[in-house]
This record gives sequence, C-alpha cells and structure tokens, in this order.
Amino acid sequence: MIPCTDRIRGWHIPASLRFALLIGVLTIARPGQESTAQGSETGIHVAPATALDTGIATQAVVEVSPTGAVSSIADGIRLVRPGGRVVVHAGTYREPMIVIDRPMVLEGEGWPTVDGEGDRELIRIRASGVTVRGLRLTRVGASMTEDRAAIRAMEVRDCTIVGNRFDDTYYGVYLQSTEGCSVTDNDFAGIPHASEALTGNAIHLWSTRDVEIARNRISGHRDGIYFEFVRNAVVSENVSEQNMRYGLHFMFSDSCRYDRNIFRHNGSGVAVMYTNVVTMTDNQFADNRGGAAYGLLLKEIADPVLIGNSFVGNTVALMADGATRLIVERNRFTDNGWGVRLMSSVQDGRFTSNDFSGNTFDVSTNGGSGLSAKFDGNWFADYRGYDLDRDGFGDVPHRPVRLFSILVARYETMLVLQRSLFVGLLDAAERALPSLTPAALVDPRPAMRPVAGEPTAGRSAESALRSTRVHSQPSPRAAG
Amino acid sequence: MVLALVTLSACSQSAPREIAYGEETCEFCRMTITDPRHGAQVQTAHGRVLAFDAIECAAGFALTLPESEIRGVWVVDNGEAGRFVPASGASFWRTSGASTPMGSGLVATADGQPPTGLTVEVGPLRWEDVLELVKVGGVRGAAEPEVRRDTMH
Repeated sequence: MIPCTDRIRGWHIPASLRFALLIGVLTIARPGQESTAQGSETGIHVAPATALDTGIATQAVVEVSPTGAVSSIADGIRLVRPGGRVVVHAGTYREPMIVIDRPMVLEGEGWPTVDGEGDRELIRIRASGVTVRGLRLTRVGASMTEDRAAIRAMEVRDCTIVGNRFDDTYYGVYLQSTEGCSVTDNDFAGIPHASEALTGNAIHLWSTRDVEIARNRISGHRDGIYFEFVRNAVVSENVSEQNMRYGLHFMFSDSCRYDRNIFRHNGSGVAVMYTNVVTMTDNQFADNRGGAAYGLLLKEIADPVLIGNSFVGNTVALMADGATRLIVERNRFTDNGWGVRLMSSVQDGRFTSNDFSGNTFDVSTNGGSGLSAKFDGNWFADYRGYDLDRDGFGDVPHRPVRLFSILVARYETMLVLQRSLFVGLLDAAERALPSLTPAALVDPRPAMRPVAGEPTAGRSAESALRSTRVHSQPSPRAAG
Repeated sequence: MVLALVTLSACSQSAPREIAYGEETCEFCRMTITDPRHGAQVQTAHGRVLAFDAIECAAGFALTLPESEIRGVWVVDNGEAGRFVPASGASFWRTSGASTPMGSGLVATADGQPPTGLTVEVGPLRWEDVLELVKVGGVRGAAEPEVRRDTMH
C-alpha cells in the first residue's frame, strides 16, 4: 500500500483524481469487505488520513499486547486499515476513551480487560461496520450528569457487539441514533451494591432502528434493556434478572417484537409504555414481586399481541391500563397474586385459550364501565361447571372476576379478609347471583382442561445461553 | 374555637411529602419512581398528594383536572436530590446528557440558574410552558427526538 500511494503521488495527477484512485485501490485491496457502498464511504473518510499520517494505517491485522510493539488499543486502531482487525491480547488496558473511527473488528483474545477507572466511557463507535467482541469492559463509574457507557455507538450503521463481558459498568451498551446494529451473547453484571439512583441500563437504545438483541445475560442494572424511540427491534432469548426497575422497558417504541426471553426477580418484569404494535411471544415472566410489581405492564399501548407466554409467581402477572386491541392467546397465568388486571381504559381486549391456575385473583378490574374485553375458551382451575355435551367446554359460563377482587381494588386494606369465611360466602353468593361483577367479563365457553400448551420460552432461552457461552470466547487465531 | 381554627388551617395547608423512591409508582404512567433527582407531586383539592416520576407526568396529570381542583404542584430541585420546590416559582430546562425518567430531558431548578453539569438545550421555561408542551403532544410528544433536536422556540 505504501508504494502504491507514493507512485500515485509521483504522477502529478490532479488531487481529486488521485484521491479517487486511492479509494479504488483501498477498496480493491481490502479483503472480506462485503458492502462496497459502505467501503467507499469510509474510504473517503480514511484515505486522506492515510496519506497524512505517512501511510501507517495499512495493516490488515494489528496485534495489541501490553508488552508488544503496539501496547494501546488506540494505537492499534490508528494502525489498522479500514476493514481490518485489531486483536487485543490478554492484559489490562487503561487509556483515554477509545474512538473507533473506521470499519473494523476489535477483538479480544484471552479476555483482555479495558478499565475505565471509574471516570470515563470506554469505547465510542463513530464509524459504520464495526464489530467489538471478546472484551471484558469494567469500571465505568456512575455519573449524575452523563449516561456513561462501556460501549456507545453514535450515528452509525451495522455495528456488532458480540460476546463481551461487562461488569461494574454504569451503562453497558448505548446505541444512539443507529441503524442495523446487533447486541448478542454478552454478559452484563452492573455495578455491585449500587444505589437505585446511580444504576444505569445494561442495554440502552435511543432513536434507533432495525436492531437485534439476543442471548444476553443481564442483571444488576436499573433496566435490563431500555428502548426509547426504537423501531423494528427483535429481542430474543435474553435472560434479564435482578434488575432494580424493569427487565425490559419500552418507551415510545413501535413495531417491535420480543420472544423467548426470561424476565425474573426484577423490580418489575417488563413495561411496555406509550407504544404501538408490540408482539410478545413465548416469554417467561417470573417472580417479579413487590408492592407494585408486575410481570408485564401495558400502559397506553395499541395493538399489543401476547402469545404463549408464561406468568409465574408475580404480584400482578399482567396489568393493562390504556390498551387498545389487546390480543392475549395461549398464555399461562400460574400462582400469581393477580393474574390479569384490566383497567377500564382497556378497549377491545381478546382473551382466548389461556390457562389460569393458582392465582389469588384470576382476573380483576377497577370496576369502571368503559372496559371492553372478551374471554373465550380459557381454562380456569377454579371453574365449577360441567360439560354434559362432552365438547371439552363447560356448559355454564364462568365469571373470572371475584367480587372480593373488586372490593380489594377499591379498598386495598380489605385484603386481610382474603381467607375469611365472610369473603368465601360473598364470592359464593356473587357466583350464584351475579350483581356487582362486570357483566362483560365472562367466559361463555370455559375450557374443561388446560388449553394453552406447554411452555417453551424458558428452556430455549436457557439452553441458547448455555451453548453460546462456549462460543463467546473467541477461538485462538494465528498471528499476522 | 381556637382549636377549630388551628385544625382548619392545618387541613388547608398544602405541602409536599416524602416520596418512597424505589417503592411508589407514578400516578400517571405507573412506572416505579426510582430517581430522586427527578419527581414531582400534585396535591388535589381533596388534600391527596400524588407522586410522579417525572415533571411531564405531573403536567399530564394536572391537565386532566380543572385548575380549581389543584392545590399545589411541586417538583424536585435538580440541584438537590429529593428536595421539592413549588412548580410555580421553579425554572424548567430541557437538557441532554443524563436521561430523565420519561425521556424529555426536563429538569427544574429553584434558584433560576441552569442545572449544573447538564447541557441545556432550551430554557428557562415556566411551569405553564411545560403544561403547554405536554398538552400539545402528551408525554410521548414531549420526548420526541425531532422535538428535542429542534429548539422549542
């Protein structure tokens, strides 16, 4: 490359043409570069630097190690040519914030540590087509005035953050105005013993589109995954647990999908807020407990679809407030305090073929008259009817809303009477002569046995994580 | 008689209360209130004091009531986490850098000075401006990236 550049210089051809030729040479000489559009774009960006820096950014692979010729990651990046690879060997790297300004792969071997010493961001991606893998990123201190992240991608496309370990980091990965990025197979551990106020989000997305978030293991943050103004995201097979606020949190993010994730032991499981068209399939919402803990909170949302999810052991499994055209099919609500809480602001809810068992209250509402929800063919373990025509569905409609649950919704302290004889009588009387429970909330065709099917979510997410943990350690490569 | 007067004046007094961060939920958006650098309270004519996680949530709630039914609105002074000051006398700033609970970047200060450390995009605004902002686009509109990139004026 250096001779090429010199020869071009020597011809005394116009600068602009020389520049174009240089880009051409760079593009052709670059191995494994798939996107030519992207290549030329970044070529323009990098070529002048090549000439000015006496042509040093020419290496396809740069090896960085604490004792080697190149001992800082920043120097490694300066030396690598666009589309090349910087291999970082084991050791601890403490250097000013690393800026990746060209398409390249930054890859750790033997888990090198990038240490922010508590006062800075670690890596900032400012070029499209960047991959970061195999690094341990640590000590990104909390800050009152900036959302510091271990890796921040800003205004770029096609970044890949795969197989890294984050610990003691305020924010983990922050995608800001990006397109086509993926965050997969990473571990996020958060700041140990941090107060709630000084904990950031493990994966934070703002004004971003076309993202894949998969097979990450996340704990110890404020929100495990946080979306704000995100479009077309797919979130799958992540395990997000023991986060202080939510395992997954959507704000203002339309047309997204999440499936086969596990959300457990979070302050609350998942919140989907002020958002349209979200599909939630085969997830597990488990053990999200506390005074106001939800497995899933839907707030001001249109066209949400829930299929095949499991809700187990939550204070409130599903809370819907301000939901329009809500579709809930083949979900399992098991051993929760409240199974489904519907506020009167729910419009056109459809509950079909769900299983309800072991919940203190299967379905409850605040008793408002605006609520519209249809139940059909759901299985309620509490159902006391019969099936004379043997079609698998009870011949007597089932009212899943206990009178007592309405009273509790109005006067929370009445909950102490839950096991009392009086409440038992009250519920029995209401069942015989319904008077206060909403007439709309009735399943005319309750199933006689479970209909939702077996859960698939948890197992696949766990096993996906197990198998990817093996791959997340980059395989040893020959030097050069 | 005196006793009755004292009792009456005690009842009519409007004052903010402590918020149990990490436990209480926002009356408007139902999110858990976790960050003591943010938050707001509204006291209704009945004397109930309701807690909110963010300034725009309090505004959204206040807009649902006639003005006569609101006895007071307080917001957290960004300079002192957990300290509530009357919204009517506070200065509001749209900031960037550190995210706010509902994404709008709105913070309040009691002394009229811009918040320290944060980048101010717009400000100072008055409480009425905040109400107008939320009235126009809701809490989502208040946080829209397009809105945030433009200046409001």
